[in-house]
Amino acid sequence: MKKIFLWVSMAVIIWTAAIADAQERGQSPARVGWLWYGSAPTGALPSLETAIVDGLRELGYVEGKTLVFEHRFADGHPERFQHIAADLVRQKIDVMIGLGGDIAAALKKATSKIPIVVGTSDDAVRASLISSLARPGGNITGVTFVMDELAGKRVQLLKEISPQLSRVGVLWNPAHADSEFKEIEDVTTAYNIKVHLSKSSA
Amino acid sequence: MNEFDSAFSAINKETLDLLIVVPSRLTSLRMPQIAAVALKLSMPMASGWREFAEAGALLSERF
Repeated sequence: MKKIFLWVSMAVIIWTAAIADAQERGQSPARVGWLWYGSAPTGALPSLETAIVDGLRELGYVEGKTLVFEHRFADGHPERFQHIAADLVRQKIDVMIGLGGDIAAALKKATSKIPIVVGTSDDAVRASLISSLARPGGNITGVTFVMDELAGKRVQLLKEISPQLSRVGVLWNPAHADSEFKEIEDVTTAYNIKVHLSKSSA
Repeated sequence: MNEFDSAFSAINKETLDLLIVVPSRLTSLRMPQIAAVALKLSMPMASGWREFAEAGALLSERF
């Protein structure tokens, strides 16, 4: 948990510094570019997205006055990420947000100058987003949910709950950047659990 | 039948004890559909985000 906390602290520091810079330049609202995997939400924002908006409000930013979100939606088409990211870079954005390892990678490829704040399931070092958790380097910071490691732990827990467990189905998207399947496979192999794999990228 | 449907049609009680859904934005978008089939088959399901448990997964971390 400690390393996650450290990374969160870094994110908040870089985030507020980047926005403060933008405001000092001419009192114009900070422009936050936000690339979404899906379409524009029709109802309430999902929990992660709500946390970002609430967090900025708690820091004193007022949407429309001191801060403007430039939302861009890939409508469930990851192949559009790079094009949209490049377009955001041209829009004089102060900070970019991306939730998801695949979105984070596209934003990183699009700019080495604009600060990028990400939330990713996978190990950010293993995904080549940052050089280390203690010293991320570059222009990316954010939060990792270490879901990869938890994927293996989840199988261990399920085996403890149900010792006769021997056949497990795994549904995943191989186009998504994470190492969860490998972590699952390592544990199922150790327990001699048979895996039926269902891949889906559409 | 798209890729997702064919992947999902391979899931049944005769061959599986349990279904693990690797969380991603794609599986998240499809979660209502996945949960409906799993519940119909009485297939225990485990995943990693809160939304999956809310949709009917047996186990999920609190994210």
